[in-house]
Parts: sequence; structure tokens; C-alpha cells
Amino acid sequence: MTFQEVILKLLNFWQEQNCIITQPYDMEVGAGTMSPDTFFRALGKERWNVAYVQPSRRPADGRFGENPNRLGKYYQLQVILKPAPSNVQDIYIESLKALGIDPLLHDIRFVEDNWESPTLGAWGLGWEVWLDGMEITQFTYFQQMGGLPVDLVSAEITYGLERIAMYVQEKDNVFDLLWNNDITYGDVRFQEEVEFSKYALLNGDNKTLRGFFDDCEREANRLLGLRLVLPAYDYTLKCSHIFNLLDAGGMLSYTERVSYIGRVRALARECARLYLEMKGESL
Amino acid sequence: MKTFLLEIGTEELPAGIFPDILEQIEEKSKDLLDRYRVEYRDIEVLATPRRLTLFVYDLGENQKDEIKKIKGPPKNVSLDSNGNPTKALLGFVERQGCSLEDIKFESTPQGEYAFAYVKTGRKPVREILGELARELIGSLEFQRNMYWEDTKFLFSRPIRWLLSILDDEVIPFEIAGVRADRYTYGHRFLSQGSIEIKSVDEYKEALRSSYVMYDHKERRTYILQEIERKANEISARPILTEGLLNEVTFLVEFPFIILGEFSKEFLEIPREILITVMIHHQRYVPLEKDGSLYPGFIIVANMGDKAEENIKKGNERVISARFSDAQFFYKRDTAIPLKDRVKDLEKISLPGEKGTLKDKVENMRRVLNYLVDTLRLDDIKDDLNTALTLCETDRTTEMVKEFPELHGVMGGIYARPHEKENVWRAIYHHEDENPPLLEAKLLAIAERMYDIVSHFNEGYIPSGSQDPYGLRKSAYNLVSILGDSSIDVELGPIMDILNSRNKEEVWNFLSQRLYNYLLNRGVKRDLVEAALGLATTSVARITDTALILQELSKRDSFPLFITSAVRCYRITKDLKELFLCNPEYFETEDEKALYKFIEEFPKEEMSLLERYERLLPLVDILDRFFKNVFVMVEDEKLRNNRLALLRETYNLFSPFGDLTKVEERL
Repeated sequence: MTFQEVILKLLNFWQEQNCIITQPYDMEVGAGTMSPDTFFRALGKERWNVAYVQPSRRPADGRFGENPNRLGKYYQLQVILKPAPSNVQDIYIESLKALGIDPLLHDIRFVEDNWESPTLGAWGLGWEVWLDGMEITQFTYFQQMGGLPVDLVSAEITYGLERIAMYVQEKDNVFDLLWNNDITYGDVRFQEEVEFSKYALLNGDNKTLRGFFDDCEREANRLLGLRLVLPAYDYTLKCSHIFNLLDAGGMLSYTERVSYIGRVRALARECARLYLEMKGESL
Repeated sequence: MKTFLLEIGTEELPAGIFPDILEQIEEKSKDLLDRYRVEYRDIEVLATPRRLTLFVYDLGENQKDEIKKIKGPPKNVSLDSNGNPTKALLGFVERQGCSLEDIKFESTPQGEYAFAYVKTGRKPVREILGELARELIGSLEFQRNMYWEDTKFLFSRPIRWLLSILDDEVIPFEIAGVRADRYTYGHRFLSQGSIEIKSVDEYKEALRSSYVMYDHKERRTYILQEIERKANEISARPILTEGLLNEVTFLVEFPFIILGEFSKEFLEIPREILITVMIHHQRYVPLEKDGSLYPGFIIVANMGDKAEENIKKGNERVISARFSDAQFFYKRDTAIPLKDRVKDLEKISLPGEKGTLKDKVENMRRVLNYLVDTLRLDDIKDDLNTALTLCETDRTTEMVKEFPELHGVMGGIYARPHEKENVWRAIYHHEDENPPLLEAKLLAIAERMYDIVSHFNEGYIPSGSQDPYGLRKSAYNLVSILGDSSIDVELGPIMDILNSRNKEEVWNFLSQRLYNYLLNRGVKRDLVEAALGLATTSVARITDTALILQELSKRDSFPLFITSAVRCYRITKDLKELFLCNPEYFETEDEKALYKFIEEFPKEEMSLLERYERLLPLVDILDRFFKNVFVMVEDEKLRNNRLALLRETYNLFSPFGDLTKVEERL
């Protein structure tokens, strides 16, 4: 099964579960959770079922394309089921069957893992799902988003697509994955990994990045003042990514790091609060 | 006699809540049964990752009687002149819902009154079990809770089914939107659909045939045996900790033990790293053969048979990827020796105002120099300083960034080829709970003191459940190192060296840990308090004193000894000024005898045991003194002289601590 077949089969499965299939958010984000399709929709009382692939940037994890298991950018397949149905684990296991993984022929386990995003002011409880000892999915029941307790609990299912594909294709190096039958993951992404690792880990410009952060933060606050919550959130995401670049380049002391995280969180909280206020829902 | 069965069916519970949650269920259900006045023979608590099960055996049919005594009107108001009940009494009887037979007249300080003896709430037990079960489930406490449905009920993970039956009858109740019924579920994959339980005695057999080993004790024993059997087949020995065995027991419902292998080339990575990856990151059991690590591991899986080949292959690939990472880190790390990393310490900032790792090391160096001087350890001074200089440098390595729990051990491994044995071992062991060599102990003492004092200086003082930096654990560890090894050193001056801004709070905090430590060493509470009353900040001295008091307290003479000391203390404790005792003012032989004893008591240091023996004759001398000498006489000069004599006597006891705390007296 090729990399793109893994994606298509999963999206197809979730489409059949009445999820809308949206497209990746067009900004740098660290995880599918940061897309507005999750961040805002997890708030409030409305039902929401969605699935999408989200390219996720983790500049500090970049390894110049040298490490067979680590990437500075990878693909998550994100599913939100709100409210979480009572048989959500069973549905998830069905999705694995759609990938040809027969639960009777493997050891699938739900092992405690509690998720927290200090920059989003968000946390939830759940598991990492093990397939024969390999973590293939993060499974979380959201409890808080943007510092606010959620009204309706969403189940968030995040598949690590490269991990799953490596398992089904029995590859030991991510760059050897078959994207389709004649193009590899390396053909598509290797140069990107090398260059973005060089940029983030070795060539980020401290002063420029700090300036960007300050500008984006100011812009986010200005937009919040104009009650333009979605544009304000875009600038919050930019702040978050710039912070990740500063962090990956080793440009922050411990105290600064804590303070930058606090600044992003303050914006995320304000976005969440304003979003609910504008929807006329009580906090 | 009927049996009640309650099964809370959940999504996978965190292994870390066990065994605490089992004790909670046992204690809380016993409390509830008592509170609801339900008689029973025994209870049994069982658990898997997906279910918490409670059996209550041989329940009483009805609640136990409880007779309440309620005061009514006075007798003369209750009965008329003919001895017949009045309206007042009849009204009282009606209000209490009893009959005239339940009324007794009893005398009270206010005169004779009517009392009703009312039997209350003798409901059938089957009617109250539902409420009891609800209360039990609601009372369970977890470190982290979540809600998942409309009622926002909090539990560790979602509850998906409730099985609640008394013999064969469903005991209905509802919690978190789930209705109790007579259905359970088997193994997540090996069993299909719900299973009806017609009566309690079917439960265990139904689960067993649905691939659930429901009894955690049995599961644990089985896993242990199978691991040993599997290891035996290849003549290896499993490296198994209690923590790992407990964890894997609560990660599976139906254990399969599978042997995996990895390439021998990974054995060139130090074993500590391989073991950490296997245990902490994959929950595998590492194996040892002929004293060295075996290139294989044991998986405790929740599936087997047909799946075994896939499970073995999959896990082998995972561990090989992880070891490749570790190997990569190890090669990169060893390219730069630790001594070349010292300069990088100033690039790593510490939280708050503590500066960098370099500042931490220099602070620790001042403490270490003090320890070396006080304990006269000049022969290891240079080695200690080398170990100190290197002990934090492993934080700049890839390996420790990836596996922070290997800090210390990793530094030791990287120092091993370059440094003397006591130097690398000091680094290796300084983060241990119980470092095996003096050099590592001293490093550990300096580090724990630095951690505690620097956090207190910035106001991070643990309170209640708030202890984000784990200072309580550091402090307990510090006092147990000092107490176990009898390193006799005053901590007060160390606090000064570290510029403590709140010495008293630091010492109170350490004393509290020391208190717990001494209790754990089997010293009685009051004796611990006595030892803590010593005017010292040496943990070793307090510990030795407490242990000796514990020994002495077994002797017959101990209560007499304590009583004597306390009598001297009581009478002189309000003495404001210090007077010198003047033998010229003595009037009685008993004063002279006491004075003579004090004068002749050896002034040089002696062991506490010897001091005890030598002080014993005082018991009689003091006894006669108090019998024959009236201390608080009118004459001020005489009175003060006698008090001064007793104060000096009490001083002889002071090396034992504050003996007024000791409860055992005559």
C-alpha cells in the first residue's frame, strides 16, 4: 500500500463516518490541533465531525535528512468527532481494518498518554495507540482549549501517517517509503528536509525572528481589538511558528522560552474567548 | 446468603492508577457497607485495564437494626394522674413513628422523661445497593480526571458499561449516562459482543472463556512465571523490576509472552542505555546471560497465537529503530569528551534567577569545599573537584537530551574511559537515591542542598500538593543519605554558603523530611521529636540520637531516667536569669550529693550509651533531693541557688535532645 493510498483509504473511511473532509490549513502549524478546524470547532456546543491531512512543522526535530525516523515536517491525519461517540474506540479500530490491519493478527493497545499544548492553553486525556509496540496514533479527549473548559467533549484522533506507512510497507527509512508506485517519500521531500533543517537549526537569524514575533504579536492584538478573531488567530499561529524557530536555533534561554510560550498562550486564550463571545455562547 | 457483583467497564485505564485504586475500592466499599449498616462476610476486588470489579459475599437480607433513642416530654406531662398516656405523649409517639411499647421512662438530671427507642431504616439490602454502588464509583479519586458526556461526571477514563447484579437480579442505577445491567464484555479483540451474566457465579467462568484473566494477582503471577520460563529456554535471566511487572500486568487482559531479538551490534551501546530504552520506552523485559546483556527482550503482549509472528517482527523493528537512534547519539556524544563540554555549561540557563549550569556548579563547589574541610577529606579533594566539574556536562549530550532520566549515569559512562574510577563512579552515581560511594554521596549532598536552598530563595516553597520541582523528594533523599551514612555535618553553615534567605524555613522543611525518615527507620514518634529537639542541624547526629533513644526505650530504667530529666526541666524552665550555683548556700546533704555528682561527672565527650549508664545513679539522688529539699523557698538567694543546681543537672541530659517530648514516664 503506497503512502498516498494510506491517506486516501483513511479519508475515505472517515468520509463514510459522516465526517466532512477539509483541506490542510494553509499556514505553518506544529500539529493538526492548531488548525482552526480543530482549535475553534472544539469550543462551543455545536456538533462537528471532520477529517483532514495537516502538514506539521517541528523545526527542532529536523535532522538534515540524515536520520531514518526523524523529520522537521511530517504529515498528520487529523480526525475530530464532536461529541465523542461512545463507541469511538471501536470506530477507530475499524479504520485500521480499512488499512488492512487485522486486529486479530496484531497487538493493538491503548497506552496512557496525556496530551498538553502549553502554547494553545489546551489539554486532554487519552492514549498513544501501539501497533506491535509502535506508536501509530494519538487519541485524546479534549478537556480544555484556549484555556477554556470544553462544553462538548471531542475525540481527537491523530494518525502519524509516515509511521503507519513504514509499518505496512516494512521500510526502515522514512525516505524509502513509496509515495506511489514509482516515486518515494525521499523524492518528494528530501531536499525540503535538508534545507529547512539547515535553516532552522543553523541559519535562523535571531534578531529578525524576534522582530517578526513582536510584529505578529502586535498585529494579533490589533485584530483582536477589531474583533477579527480568525485573522487574529492566524497571527497567533505565526507567533507560535516563529517561537518554534527561535527554540530550534537554541536562541532562547530557559526564562525567555517560558515567557514566549506565555505570550502565545495569552493570544490563543483571547482568540478562544472572543470566538465564543461572538457566537453568543456563555463562557 | 446472596452475593453482589459490580463491574465498572471502562476504556483502557492508565496502568499508573494501580495498585492505589484497588486499595481505594476495598477501603471505600467497606466504609460504605458499614455506613449503610449492611452485613457481609467478605469482599473481593479484581481489575484489568478495562474493568474494576467488586464482589461482596454473603450479604445480609436487610440492613442491620439501628435503634435511636429520642427524648420526649417529662413523665408528669406524659401520663395523667391515673397513669394513662396524655395527648402530649401520644403526639410524640406518632411523630416518631413508633408505638407505646417503645417508650421507656428514665431519670435525667432534669427529672424523669419519656424516651422513644426507635428502630430506623431497616430496608432490604437489595434496595440500597444501587445507591451504594453509585456512591462508591463517585468517591474514587484519581490523580487526573476527565469528563466525556453531558453529566460531566469525572473519572480516570470513560465508563462504557456497568454490570450490577445481586445473585441473579439486576441492581439498577445510573452514572455518567450509563445504566447498570447484566452484561459484560470480554477481550477487546478475541471476544465478540456483549456477554449476558445470568447469575454471579457465571461471571468468572464467562470472562475466562472470553479471554480475560480477570484476577490481577493471578495475571501477575502468570506473567512472572512465563517470563522466567521463556528466559530459561535460552538460559537467560530476566531483568525485571517491581514497577515494570506491575505496569505490564495492567497493560494486558490476557497475557502472551513473546521473545524478541535485536542485532548483536547494538550491544556495543552501554547497557544502561539499552535497558532504559527497553523498560521506560517500550515496557519490554531486558535479558541477561552470563553476566552481560542478551541481544533479546521479552514482550508482554495482549495477543498471541496467530498474531505472534507479526508482534515479534513489529516490536523487533521498533526496538531496532530506537537503538539506531541511541547508537547515533552515542557516537556523536563520544566524539566530544566531557572536559571539552565544560565551557558549554554557561550556555544552559536555569529557571528563575539561578543563572546557568556553570553558576550551579560553582555554588556546589563552595559547598563541597566546606564538606571536604569539615570532614577532613583532603585525600579525595582533587578527585571530588574533577567529578564536580564534569557532573553536569552530560546535559549537553544528545543522549541526555533524548533520555533525561539518564543524566548522571550517562556522564559516568562518558567519563569512564578518561577518568579515575572514583571520579567516574562519583558522576555515575550522584543522582542515585542511595549512592554507593562517599564521593557520590558528597556530590549528591551538595546538589540537593543547592536545589532546595536556591528554590526557597526564589519563593518556590512546597505547600499542600504543590511541589512542581519535587523538592520534597530531594529533601528526603538528602536526609536519608546523611542519616544512612552517618556523615556528621552541620547543614546551617551550608545554607549560609549558598546565601539562603530563609534558613529557618529551609531547616523546618528538612526537619519534616527527617521526621518521616526516622519514622520509616522504626523510631517511635515521641522519640523522633525528642531527637529533633537537639540544638544541631546535623542530620547524622539527630539520626544517631533517635536510634539510641529507640534502643534505650526498651530498658526498664528508661521511664525513670526520663522522669528525672523532665522533673529538672519543669521546675527550671521559667528561670529567666542564669545563676551560678554556690556550694556555700547548701543546707542539706541531698543538695551536696547532687552537686558532687555533677562536679565529678566527666567533662570529656562520651557516647550516648555511656552517658546513659553514668547518669542512671542520678535517678536515686534526684529522688531523694525532691523528697527532702523544698526548692521554691521564700528566700530568693536559696531558691535561685537550688534552681541553678537543677539547671546544671538538666544540662547533663541535653545531648539526648528534648526529653520532655518522650511519652514514656512514670
